[in-house]
Amino acid sequence: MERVDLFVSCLVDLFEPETGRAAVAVMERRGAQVGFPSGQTCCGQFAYNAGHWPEAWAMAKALLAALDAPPTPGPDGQERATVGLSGSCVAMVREEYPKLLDWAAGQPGWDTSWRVRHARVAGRLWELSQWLNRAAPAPSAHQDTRPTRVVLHTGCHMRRVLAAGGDAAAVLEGLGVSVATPEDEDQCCGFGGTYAMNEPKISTALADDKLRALRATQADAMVSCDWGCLLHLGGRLSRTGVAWSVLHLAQLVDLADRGELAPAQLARAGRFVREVP
Amino acid sequence: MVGRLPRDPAPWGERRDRALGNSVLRGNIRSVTRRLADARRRAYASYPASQVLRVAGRDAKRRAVARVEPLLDELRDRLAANGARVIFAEGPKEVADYVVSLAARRGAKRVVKSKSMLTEELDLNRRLAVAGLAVRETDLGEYIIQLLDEHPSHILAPAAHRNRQEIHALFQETAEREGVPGPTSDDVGPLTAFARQRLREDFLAADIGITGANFLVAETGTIVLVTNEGNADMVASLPPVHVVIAGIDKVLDTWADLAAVIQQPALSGVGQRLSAYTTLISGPRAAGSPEGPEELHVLLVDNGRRQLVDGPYADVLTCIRCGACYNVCPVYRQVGGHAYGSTYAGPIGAVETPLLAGLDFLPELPKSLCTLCNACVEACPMDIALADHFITLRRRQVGEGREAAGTRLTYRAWGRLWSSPRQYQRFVSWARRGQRFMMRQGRLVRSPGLWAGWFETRDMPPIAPETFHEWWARRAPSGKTPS
Repeated sequence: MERVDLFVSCLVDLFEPETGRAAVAVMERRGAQVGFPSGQTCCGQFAYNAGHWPEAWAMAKALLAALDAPPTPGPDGQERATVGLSGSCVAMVREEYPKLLDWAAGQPGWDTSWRVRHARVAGRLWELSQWLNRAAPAPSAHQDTRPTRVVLHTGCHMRRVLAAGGDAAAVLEGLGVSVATPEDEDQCCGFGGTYAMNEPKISTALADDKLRALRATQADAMVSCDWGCLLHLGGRLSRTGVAWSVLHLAQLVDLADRGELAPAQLARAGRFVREVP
Repeated sequence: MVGRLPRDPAPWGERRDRALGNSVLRGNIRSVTRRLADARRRAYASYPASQVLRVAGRDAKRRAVARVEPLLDELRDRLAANGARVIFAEGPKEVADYVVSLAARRGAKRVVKSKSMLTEELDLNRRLAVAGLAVRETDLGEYIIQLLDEHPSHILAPAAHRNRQEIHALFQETAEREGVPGPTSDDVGPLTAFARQRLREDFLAADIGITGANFLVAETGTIVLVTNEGNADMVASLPPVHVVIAGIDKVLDTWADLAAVIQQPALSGVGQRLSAYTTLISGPRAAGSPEGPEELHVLLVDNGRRQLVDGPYADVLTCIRCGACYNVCPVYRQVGGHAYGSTYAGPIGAVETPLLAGLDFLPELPKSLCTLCNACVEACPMDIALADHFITLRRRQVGEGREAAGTRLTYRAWGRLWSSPRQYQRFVSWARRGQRFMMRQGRLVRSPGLWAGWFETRDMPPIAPETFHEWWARRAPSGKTPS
């Protein structure tokens, strides 16, 4: 049995814990023994991107220490992976931390062992859809014959930094879900971490363009591997009084596993399904 | 030494709002950038050698930047041997003074120019006009914006923000003012024919022709110009004096290096395998030659470039001005080029402008014009590390204390709380208590401080009644999923 540590991301922990619970269920159904390194908080990407590297480095050290901690109960010698629930955060740890490490190496208090710990953590870290594509398939209960159509929004870091742009679509297709392709699908949604707060006007103009393209597919739900993009887009839907089912991939796979993937079920399942007057 | 660039006196918020409020401009920019980006993708996909050539071109540019001083000396010697005058110029004033005194010596009054972003950067047209010279831009897009008294909004397509209808109206107005027949319709053919007719007269009457250079080959002393309109050939060959104004970053080592990179401006810029015109110039008219200018002057301009050669931003100097990064940039697509406030826009402009002119110059560029989507990194044929540069420029701005004290303190507190699991739990309980006053209908609708901007246009779910950490702690002892 593979032991899998979950790296949930701060947004899932604080705002969308249901995604974390769904991921646990999904991974356990595929035979994983799921652990949760409880020292984890945030990868520090928001601070890193905004240029606040001392803060980013403090958070990176805390995350590396947490993810590198020895496994809590479990026989020795087991194969071990860490699965992240955000393509952007996984990209941060795998692809951006080396740059942060290079910078930290010139700062007081530097300890070379961080490079070793990073190599260990990054070497076994996967984004959820990457892991699902190589995991044993679960006995899926998805038997509804009516076509369920979702539109997939792939975050820019997942697509371009992690180079895992096709993985989520492959997972969805494996479940028999039809995936709609929106116009300008590789265009940024305007989230950009703290960019969404610093430049709300441009960020929102981008969200509106993205939502127009996503909504035009008339899909039953919008799915992504990043709650950053989803909270930004969903938060915009909410503010403009539009109800739509917005879900993380983990939740969609969980619904498929449970045979609850009919369009009507899907339309009720996500965040932002209730219209706020 | 930092360079001097022109700047729009309007503050960032005003420039941004002006752009976002102009739906015609946004529609024009969107359609031009999409067309160019799609053309580039198709051209690369249908050209098996494209990636190999791109990397070879990139490496040629990188080698040249690393050895820029000896290559410039070699270039100067070769060009001088061919009868050209080569001048190293520091910035806008030196360049303008040189051209003005040259014009005085020659008794020149009329100047024609082909497209040159460097002369935009040097604000040369204004300086020459002040000295009494009549300057005519002859690239179609540059001609349009000159008539409009505007600056380029795109590095490759200067009038990208204007559509055919607007250009038709402009040409009608121009025709009436100059007492000539206007374009017969707003189709591309008649519009181009009108411009060609008007420009022909300027070419024939000009005393001085000014061009930029896409590449300068040190080994052979060759000035290379790439255009799709052929206007640069006229500018370089009809007037009796030709002045080349080029950045020191344009130099290449060998002829083989030129061959490696020559396709890139058109391939990455407009999706053509080669530009329609590729012009190679090695000197003024040779004795006995029937054509060409009597004098050739080559100004090699620094304006903030040299200080970058040995640093972490040297790759910015390998930019070939193809505009591929503009065309894929989500922010550029929303606001167009004028919102950036100086000569260069798009990702390369937002990075290069503060590097050339100093971090105090338009300090909003690294922070406000980039979502870090990395589309530019994917598009750049020279593999310039644009996203990394955005982040490290922000880091330098923060490090030099250029940020509001409140923002700085917020990040400091945020970083401190979130780098310790225990403090993070404390943060959660504070935030839960605080958020009660910021909710409506079960959703967060406002927030103080750094997060306020979010809630101008978007809601947020509140912090969950049970975070994942809390759920796991409840579940963990038995290893069973709690209900």
